[in-house]
Amino acid sequence: MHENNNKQELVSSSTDKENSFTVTLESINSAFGISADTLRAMANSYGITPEAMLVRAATTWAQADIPDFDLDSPELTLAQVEHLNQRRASNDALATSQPTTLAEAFKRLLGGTGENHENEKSSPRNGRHN
Amino acid sequence: MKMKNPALVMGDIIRAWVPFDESPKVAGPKFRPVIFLGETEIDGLTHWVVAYGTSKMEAHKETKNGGDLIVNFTEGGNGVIHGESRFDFNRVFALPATAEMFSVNKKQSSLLVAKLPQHLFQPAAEAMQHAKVGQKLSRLGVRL
Repeated sequence: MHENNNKQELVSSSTDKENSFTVTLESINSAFGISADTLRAMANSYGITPEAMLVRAATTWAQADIPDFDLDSPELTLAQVEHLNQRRASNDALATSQPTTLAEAFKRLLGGTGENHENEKSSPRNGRHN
Repeated sequence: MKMKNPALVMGDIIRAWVPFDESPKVAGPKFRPVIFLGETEIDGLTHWVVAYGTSKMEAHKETKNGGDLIVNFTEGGNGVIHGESRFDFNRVFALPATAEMFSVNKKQSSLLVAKLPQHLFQPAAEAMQHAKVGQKLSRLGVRL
């Protein structure tokens, strides 16, 4: 995917299905994500399409989330892939175990949604590295 | 009078004379169930941060953002809670940890505590997430 200010051109150039994604947003902002209207308003403020806005957001997140991420390197390194795989394995392990306290259950959710809490400084959703 | 700390943990259900919004430091007229969320210091005084609860169940009173939790205690309420109650995590207060706020007769420093059942941890956490409780606790200086 690449950022393109022309929506028509972006859609018609998306011929490779492996590199295309369909995204459906909610009608209102909520803890589960921003609304389509909010995305449009943000994109409009930058003079780009909503699709281009999503690409920017994903790129910014990757830079904050993946250690030593380099936009000039065409693919992730093995170490970076391993880093992401480890998080998945860790999340899967957590999902299968019952929380023993309300605080633990809440912290698990905080880690998964990006709701800010100053005591959760290591959350990559806050744009910081672990 | 300061309350004795009974080693409260997040999710414990206690009762408080929840103040009216316009007089947040004055004990209110109803001794309501509240869910304890944490402890903080405000102006040098220990405050307990709690989420509002009510035993008065009315239809269509649930919050629109999913930020509330309905519990039904048939046993294990420990004299604190019995039957159905609704807790609203959109309404979070920091109340002085004093007998005036947390004692039934506003004099005793001891406290009755009921434990939230473990099977309610996940729905409670989800309601807290919908109500953005993390941000509220952060603003109040409560550590998770």
